[in-house]
Amino acid sequence: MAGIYLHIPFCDTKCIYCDFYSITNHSKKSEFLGAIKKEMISRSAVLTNRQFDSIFFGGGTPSLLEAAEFRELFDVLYSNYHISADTEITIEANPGTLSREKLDQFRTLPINRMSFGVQSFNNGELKFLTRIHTAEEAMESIKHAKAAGFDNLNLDLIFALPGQKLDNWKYNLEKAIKLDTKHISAYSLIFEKGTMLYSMREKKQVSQADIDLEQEMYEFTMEFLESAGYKQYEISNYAKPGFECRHNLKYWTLEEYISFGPSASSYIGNERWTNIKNIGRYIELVEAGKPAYDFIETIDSQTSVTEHIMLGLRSRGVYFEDFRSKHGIDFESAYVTPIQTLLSNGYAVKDESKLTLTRKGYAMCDELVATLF
Amino acid sequence: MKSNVRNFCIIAHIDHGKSTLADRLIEETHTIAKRNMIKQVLDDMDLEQERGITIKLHAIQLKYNSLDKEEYTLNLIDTPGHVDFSYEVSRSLAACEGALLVVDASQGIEAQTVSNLYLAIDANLTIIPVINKVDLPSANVEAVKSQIIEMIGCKDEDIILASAKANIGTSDILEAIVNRIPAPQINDDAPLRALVFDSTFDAYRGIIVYLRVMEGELKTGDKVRFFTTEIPSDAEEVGVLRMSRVDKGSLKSGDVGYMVTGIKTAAELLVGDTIINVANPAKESLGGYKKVKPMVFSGIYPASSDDFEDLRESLIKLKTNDASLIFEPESSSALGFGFRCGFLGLLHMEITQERLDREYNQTIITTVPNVEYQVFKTDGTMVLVDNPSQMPPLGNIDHVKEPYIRAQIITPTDYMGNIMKLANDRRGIFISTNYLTPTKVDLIFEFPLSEIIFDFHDKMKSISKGYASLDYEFIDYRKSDLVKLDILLNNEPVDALSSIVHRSKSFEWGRKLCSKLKELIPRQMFEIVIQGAIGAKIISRETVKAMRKNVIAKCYGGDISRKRKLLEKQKEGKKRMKQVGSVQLPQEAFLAVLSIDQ
Repeated sequence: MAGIYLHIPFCDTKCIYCDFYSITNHSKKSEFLGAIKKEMISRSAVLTNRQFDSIFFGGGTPSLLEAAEFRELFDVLYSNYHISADTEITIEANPGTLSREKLDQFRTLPINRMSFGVQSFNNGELKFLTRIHTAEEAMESIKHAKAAGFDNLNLDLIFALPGQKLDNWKYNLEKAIKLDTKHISAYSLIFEKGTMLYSMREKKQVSQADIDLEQEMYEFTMEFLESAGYKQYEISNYAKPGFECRHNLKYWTLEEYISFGPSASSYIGNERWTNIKNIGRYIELVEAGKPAYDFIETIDSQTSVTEHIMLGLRSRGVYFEDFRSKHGIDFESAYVTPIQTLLSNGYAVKDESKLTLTRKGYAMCDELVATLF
Repeated sequence: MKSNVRNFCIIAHIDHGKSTLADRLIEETHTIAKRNMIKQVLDDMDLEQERGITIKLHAIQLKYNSLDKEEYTLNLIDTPGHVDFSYEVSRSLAACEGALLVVDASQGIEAQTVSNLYLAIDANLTIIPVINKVDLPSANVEAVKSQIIEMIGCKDEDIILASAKANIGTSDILEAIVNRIPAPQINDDAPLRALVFDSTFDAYRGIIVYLRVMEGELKTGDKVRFFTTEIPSDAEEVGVLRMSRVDKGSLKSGDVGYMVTGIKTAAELLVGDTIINVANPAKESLGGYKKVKPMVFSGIYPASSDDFEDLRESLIKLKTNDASLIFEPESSSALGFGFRCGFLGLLHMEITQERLDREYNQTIITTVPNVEYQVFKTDGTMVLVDNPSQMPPLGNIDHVKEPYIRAQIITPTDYMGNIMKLANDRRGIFISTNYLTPTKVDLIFEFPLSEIIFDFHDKMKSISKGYASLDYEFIDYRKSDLVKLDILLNNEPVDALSSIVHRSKSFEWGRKLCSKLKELIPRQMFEIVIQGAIGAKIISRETVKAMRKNVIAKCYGGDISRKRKLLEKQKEGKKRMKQVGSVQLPQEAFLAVLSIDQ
């Protein structure tokens, strides 16, 4: 089954570390909504034989949209795509943008999962990250969402902030598990080129966390969340049993996804494309009836193998049967030496159906893939 | 018959304005239209323009209409301005009757200029002193004048004041060239003797030599021979050098020009040899030919062992226009198959490395440069060691001798103390002081060559604010207390990281080298122990911690293509590293010694 992604690019402010396409000028909102509906309709004809079981509203800040605006988007989706009854429908939400009243309105929509960009429970850290909410508001929002009837919730956290100590991070994790969400994503801070944070580092205004401390935090995170009942199923993702994010899993298992909106990436058949990262151009292209992408590539069989290993190892592992059916290759006999190296050094474990990285392996995932495969 | 030919060269220190002056002369004689003038046309290799130094020799013919309404043919023969290339300088000088001595009005005479000047005086050249950059506010014309007068014993009025940049004095210089420099001796009837002062390699035509006909005549189609090297050749084309080669069919005594030899490969150095005619051979050469002896050695290895043959091809091609480069295959347990190369000096080595990279696209790993040692063994035999890894075991060595040089350092007196200290650190032996002026001194030292080849020149420049200058010449081999310092990675010695050092410096050297390597070796999946050892004795130790985290936290739909490309790049990067045992070494590690701050 395939997934659907919609990119809602509007934000109230741009956070210093964020490298997603987002804009703080909302004047093109209604044109954008018109265009994204048009894009959904125009793409639907060739996808009539696909069944969809996940929809993800990412951003930007999708929670800035009004319930009525969501309703129109859902109308277009449901009337043009085959959407399963039990579809996982996630919206990303900024804790500062959700009143109890708005949550009640959202409850009347098909949305059944919310992902909160909490990032930290320390107001100093939130301020550094230029988030608009406070720790208290974040906790409020999650309580309100639960009270409104949303029980499948995720919260995002970021660690390895400049100057952050292991104890600061432990505090955040403890606060997080008290909120008892079904899912937690914990990311180490990335200094992405083009972000404010990146140029601050260039100018030596901030310094990146020491790699050994970062590793210590990561190791602690994996152990701590596991012991709190969250099973790690990807480098940065942890869920209570049965609550893994179905949509994100599609990215890591080479399943298909169709995406709409500026900067959104799709993977259908053997093509992957990414829409233009400019709202004005995006609207123009869609309104002119043209494809809105500015990057497209064909994934050949060799590339597909590389991606399978890269993505499999960073999530739930490489499943031998799945690998054979996708590529016609027996994974175990094709990669004897790399597998042996992974196993003998404690980077991975293997059973009869799959090869999975250990915690030690997760921490070294990129190095392992680059060195061994 | 009175000849209207004048053959001359320019002696100047780097940056004293030689190239700019050459440009002015070319412009002033309308050899090239002004609009076509690229700055400093004589330096046509990219590297030369970048480094601001002339590496390969060139020559150009200028036509000048003098004030007495005569047309003169002026042959300007360029000379390299660096200590590594003094043999080439001497051959260029031998092709001339005169030389312009160009001295910067604010800097005064520098060591390199002095030694080249003495070479010119020895070759009986007429010296025309020129003080350049006289228009600069910092110019000290009077002081520089007295330096020059002191040095060559000329008269005040013989010195031409000029500014090549502002085109001051250019016509005075041209007049002085025709009036003061003697015309060449004409002897067209004698058997041919032509001096080769440079050569280049043309991909289509083979080796082209630049020459000065001293006696007789050289015509297209002549069967000729290089006297000393005994290499036969056909004069496929003979002509003069304007902005490009101009075919003339013949060159007579006194003329400067080129000859297309038709030789496609030559291992021998042709520069300095004498061309004679096979049909009417001269009995003697012009003399002065020398086999140049490399002073600095280093290993050059392909980064990827598959490229060994490619590298060999490139070195062979490079040698066709740089005969002073020598190389022979060697192998290292760490680096695989490569070449041990010999260079005239450190600059020559750097230029060769850069040319391999830029002109031949070779990704290479070079090992730490060293000199050639004479190792006297306990069994009474002597072996020459130009590669530290070939050092016999300690127990078999009776004693070791290393090459010494005599260095001349000219410096403003303000920096004498700094220079003395540097010389002391580098095992220098002070010989003498000679005050050139009350504020400028000429210091003579003797040094082990090995102490000079790394970074002595840079250090000397930095402690003298750029004012001190250096020239040196080999003197002899002397007994020294030298030891071989080995580097071990996870207990395995890495032959390519071995070096030969003086015992008194070995501990500090070992410590610094280990800590430098720690900086340069990236973390890997396991811990790496770096050790310095002399024989079986470990003298220093550092550890590169194991890498425990390398993963980017996010990878969603839009990241996958980017992430995959990143991984491919990471793989490429690893390919450029050298696998030594289980350890991946970056190329810089093999030159770590060079970046150690002494």
